Amino acid sequence: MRGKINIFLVEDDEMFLKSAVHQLARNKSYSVKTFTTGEDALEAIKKTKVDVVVLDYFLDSEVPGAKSGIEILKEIKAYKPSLEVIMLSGQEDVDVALNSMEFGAFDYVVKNKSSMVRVQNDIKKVLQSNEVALSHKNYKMFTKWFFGFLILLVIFLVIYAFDHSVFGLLGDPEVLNAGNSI
Amino acid sequence: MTDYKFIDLNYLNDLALGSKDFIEDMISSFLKNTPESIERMETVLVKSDWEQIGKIAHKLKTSFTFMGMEETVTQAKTLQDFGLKGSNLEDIPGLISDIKEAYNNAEAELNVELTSLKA
Repeated sequence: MRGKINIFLVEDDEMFLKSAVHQLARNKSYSVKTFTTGEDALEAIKKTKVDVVVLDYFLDSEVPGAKSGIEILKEIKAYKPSLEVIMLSGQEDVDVALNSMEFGAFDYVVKNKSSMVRVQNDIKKVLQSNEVALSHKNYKMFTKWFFGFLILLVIFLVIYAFDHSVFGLLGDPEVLNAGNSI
Repeated sequence: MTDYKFIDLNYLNDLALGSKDFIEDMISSFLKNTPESIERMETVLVKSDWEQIGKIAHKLKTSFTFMGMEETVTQAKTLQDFGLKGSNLEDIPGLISDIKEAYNNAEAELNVELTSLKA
């Protein structure tokens, strides 16, 4: 059985963060870690296992000079391309959405009353695609090993058959040697 | 549930799923953070830092949504757009005042709600 699903929630809005944690915590298989800056989240990503990141687009309203969500998204994708990131924004802006998707976000979710429902659905989709990717990887590894083993077996059988057929044609060497000594 | 004039806690109650602690925590956060954010907006207004006003308004929008202050959400969104785009600058001080007044009205009702939650 697999362990807890590690979700990193990066958001500098305290109230949204509390609400999101409250909703995600309903799923007992989720372990949610929260970060108020992208820099802290990046550090943690490099040190621990994480399954999915939920990242706010605006991360510099509380800490001026902090990296924006899109900068953090780029850095996450450069470090670990397979790690899926769900972008959050309180702004319905096509450019923000396009920017997020262009840099590899799994989805772009506008913060509204139903945003956490969509985030939770996205998390499920990410986990499913991770499972499929893992199964595919395992299948590829299994077939690689299986065919490797099969080739070795065939080589062994060919050598074995060749060895026995040659000695079969020449006869038993011990008998031949015995015959020569007489 | 008490009917209030300036706030509507239906959305917060839906999110809480029966957790009084959650509602209490959210209201306390709102009462602690919102005046600070409004004060910061007033400070950056003096410096004409429109972008920062837009960013703070952006965050306030979410907070007002939790308290069911729809009209103030709209005002915060307008302020966010004006600030981030650097447009309609003459309207910005008025919008900040409106938001501050809306907060002051909500504050009293939220304190009543907090008291009833703790009772």
